[in-house]
Amino acid sequence: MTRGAAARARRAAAVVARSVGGDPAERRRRRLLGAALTCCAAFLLAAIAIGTFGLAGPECLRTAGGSTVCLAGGGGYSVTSPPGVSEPIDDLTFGGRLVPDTSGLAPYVGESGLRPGVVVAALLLVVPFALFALQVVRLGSAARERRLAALRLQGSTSADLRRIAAAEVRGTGLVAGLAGLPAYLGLWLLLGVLPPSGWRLLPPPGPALVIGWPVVALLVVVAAVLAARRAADVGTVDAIGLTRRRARPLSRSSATATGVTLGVLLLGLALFVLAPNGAAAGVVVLVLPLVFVAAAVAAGPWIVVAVGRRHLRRGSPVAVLAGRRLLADPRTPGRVAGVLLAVGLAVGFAVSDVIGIFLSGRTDPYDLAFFGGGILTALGAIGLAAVVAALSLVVGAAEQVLDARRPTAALVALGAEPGTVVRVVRTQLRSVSVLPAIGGAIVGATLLGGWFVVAEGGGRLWVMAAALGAVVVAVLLAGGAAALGAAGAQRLLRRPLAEAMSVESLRTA
Amino acid sequence: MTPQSTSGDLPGTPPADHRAAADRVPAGAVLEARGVQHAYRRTVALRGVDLRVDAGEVVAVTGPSGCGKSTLLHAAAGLLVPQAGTVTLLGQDLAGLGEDDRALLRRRQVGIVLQFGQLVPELTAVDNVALPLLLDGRPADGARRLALDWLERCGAEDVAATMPSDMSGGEAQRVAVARALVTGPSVVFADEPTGSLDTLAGRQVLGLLVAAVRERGASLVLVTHDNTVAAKADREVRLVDGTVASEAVLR
Amino acid sequence: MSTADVVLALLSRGPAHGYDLKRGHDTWFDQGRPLAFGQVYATLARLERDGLAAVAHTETGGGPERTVYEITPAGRARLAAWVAEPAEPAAPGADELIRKTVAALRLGLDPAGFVARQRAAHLRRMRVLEQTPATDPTSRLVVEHAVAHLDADLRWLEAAAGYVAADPAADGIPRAVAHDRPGDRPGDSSDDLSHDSSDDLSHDRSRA
Ligand SMILES: Nc1ncnc2c1ncn2[C@@H]1O[C@H](COP(=O)(O)OP(=O)(O)OP(=O)(O)O)[C@@H](O)[C@H]1O
Ligand SMILES: [Mg+2]
Repeated sequence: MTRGAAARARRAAAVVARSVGGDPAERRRRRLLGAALTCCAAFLLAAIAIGTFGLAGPECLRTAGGSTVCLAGGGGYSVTSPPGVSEPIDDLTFGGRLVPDTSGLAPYVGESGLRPGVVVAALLLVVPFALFALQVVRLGSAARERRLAALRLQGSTSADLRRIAAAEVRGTGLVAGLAGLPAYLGLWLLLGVLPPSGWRLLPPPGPALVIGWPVVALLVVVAAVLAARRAADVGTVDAIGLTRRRARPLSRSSATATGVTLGVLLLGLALFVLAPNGAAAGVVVLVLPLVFVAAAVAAGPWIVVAVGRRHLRRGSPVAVLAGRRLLADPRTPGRVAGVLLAVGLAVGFAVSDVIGIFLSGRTDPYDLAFFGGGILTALGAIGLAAVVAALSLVVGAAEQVLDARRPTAALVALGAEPGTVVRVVRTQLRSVSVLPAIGGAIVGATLLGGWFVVAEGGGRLWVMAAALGAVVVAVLLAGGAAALGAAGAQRLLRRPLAEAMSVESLRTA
Repeated sequence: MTPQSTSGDLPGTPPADHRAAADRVPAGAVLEARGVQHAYRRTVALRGVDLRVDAGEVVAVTGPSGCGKSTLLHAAAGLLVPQAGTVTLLGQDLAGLGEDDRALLRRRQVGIVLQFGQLVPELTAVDNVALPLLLDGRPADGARRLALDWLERCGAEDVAATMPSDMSGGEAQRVAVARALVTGPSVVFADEPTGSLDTLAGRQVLGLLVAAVRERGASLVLVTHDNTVAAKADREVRLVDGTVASEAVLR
Repeated sequence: MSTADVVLALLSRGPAHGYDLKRGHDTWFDQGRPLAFGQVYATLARLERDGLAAVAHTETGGGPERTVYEITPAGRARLAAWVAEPAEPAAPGADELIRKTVAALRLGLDPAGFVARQRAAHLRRMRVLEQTPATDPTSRLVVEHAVAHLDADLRWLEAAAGYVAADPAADGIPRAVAHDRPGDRPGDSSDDLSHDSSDDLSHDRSRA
């Protein structure tokens, strides 16, 4: 009986979800969601591919002379040399100068000791895409919220709404999860085939992908459905059947979560500083970046709240309007601010790391290529994260702008110059992008630079100067990129803004 | 049938003189729209409408749904540039003003009240009412004091610290009226200001608006399809299908 | 004829002489026509004859002699019956407005002008009514009744004009179109309306 009822309810939810699929806004939402989830799946698969690479077969290294040395079963090794080359290969050589011969993979992917770090990096790249997907699921469109409210009005229970919301994303999630493999193959072509030997980031597809594929697809679907169910209760119904968007101030529980994440981060840092060479440190150094990003994302909304409050105190109408809008829903821009804070931190680390290269004294071409390549690759990944964060910003801001079209048009009607409205949006965008990015860059560069100065600088003046220089470069790089991103977002928002400001918007509900 | 022109023009004056006449607006005219035409993609909304509003006059623009009332109001308030015809608002030819100048004119001398949903959702009632003053660079303290004063006069002091989403329709309209009047406008445009309210609340808001406008000696253009609302005006201009079907002095 | 009932109602408040009754009436219906003294005394005489009212006493304080009347039990019964009986709803076509409108529209005698003039007259009356200060609650009610009626008349007028404009075939009369252009008819502005109506409507919609 109840089981039959549940099945009926599920079927009804599927029908509702399908019938709204024709709505253009909803189609756009699903396309965006699908793209974001596909990228998540692709990077998860990348992490799997890189992580399982060494397990797939014997590990081979290439000598400087061009011979290939492969580990054999019983602890020995076999050597294959190109014709005309004969090199003395012995155990000692392994401690010397061997290039991993793994289809031209970049050294930090090829060497098993460094590989976990790359896996972590791939996992970190999932974060901005996942947050982007979460954003799309959460906000959806104003039309979707009204639809859910209308369903509510017609007697749907909140369980029904959750079911409908889940049905809306289930198909998209599944397709996106499955599309992860083709997307990964594309990524492999781009990063594992096209780059010159020694710069390739992804190994050729192995059997692990076959097992990983359905697992990742399932993971993506489940995550999307869970997020959608949590986001189903978007508003309340008022007398004329429209939603009143529920204010979502930061709660005590989100404060607790932020506090706990920050605590874990501090604990990890302490562990690392106290015992930099202990067994735990190896794990900590891998987990630390994940915790760092989690802490940044958790702290993002609080940063937005702080910035919003500061705007209110400034008192100019543009600042007040921007501040109020930031405070009205600090979570959505907060997640972007968190990602950009993490981006800033990473830029700060990457830039200061240059000091470390020179401190280690290894400045021959191979080392420079190794470290430089690593830093460049890291900056590339950071840039990708920043771009995705900027896109999240655009989606969120466009949503807010279009949602507020009537009041925006009324604002213009009562005599605000269009430029004023544009400035409000620009202030909003900048406060959640440039400020966190610069803050992160300062903190990141100071932390690592400071470490070098104190622990390894040994009173050398150039280390101090370089650390300061690194802070400046990191701020310029992160701040500039964030400003560029904000400007790009502003450009993309021009159309929705103009639409919101037009008289036509006075005719909308 | 002919629109009963209230202007002193002789019939058959060539269009060039029309424009010249618009330039020397008679001292009493707050708004002078002539030959206003506007079409949307497929619909012709206005087919050449004349509308003149004198200082201190309350004019009702009535007509069946879709006859072009809102379009006329938007053109008169400089929110929309009509495809043909001239609009002279407070002595300024709107076609000659840029978007920012029109915004400035509205901010300083024009009040606007719409049917609903015109308050900034993120601001409290006081901040909403103070907004036009703040946008004009007035100091925040004085602006808020004046805003509170107007909220009180409009009987909305109880919701001064309330967000628009937590107000009733009538309260929100009172706040909107306060916001339209706080700058001391010379002319107020109202598009169905009571359209979303029940009769009692509607009558109260309307009474408030008309009384405040009359007290200041300002003008009011009141778009409505409600006869009882129109009966508050000094003059009725009736639009039917984009043309003035009739005009009547009610005073 | 219903003056008798109103006088009876006023008398039911307590014994009163003619001047009291006139004043009471004029307060109740302060927008209406004042009650003439002659009518008060004629009515009282009729009520007394029918046994619905009776002379209570005669006042002779200073001025002229004044007769004070009071209501009888029969009068109270009659009053109760009068209030209990619902008023007869107005009969169709009994109103001058309706007669004139039908004539103007059917004969095509400048129906647009007729409607405009009638509209102005109604609005003017409404405006005057709305502006009269309410002296007491029931007089406000009387005003509101009048305003509601005027509003109903105006809406009816609008519908009537639209109806005749949209249906020229009525009565085989010359087309009573309110505007100088064929497309300029009320009721033609709403898209779905004109889609449903006859071909004759869809092809002469003007394109400006
Ligand atoms: N943005 C638009 N695009 C296309 N047509 C429009 C647009 N805005 C208005 N119209 C059309 O223009 C005509 C006039 O519209 P307008 O809103 O001025 O009428 P109105 O008299 O205010 O109607 P209502 O009493 O219903 O508010 C209508 O037929 C309407 O459908
Ligand atoms: Mg309108």
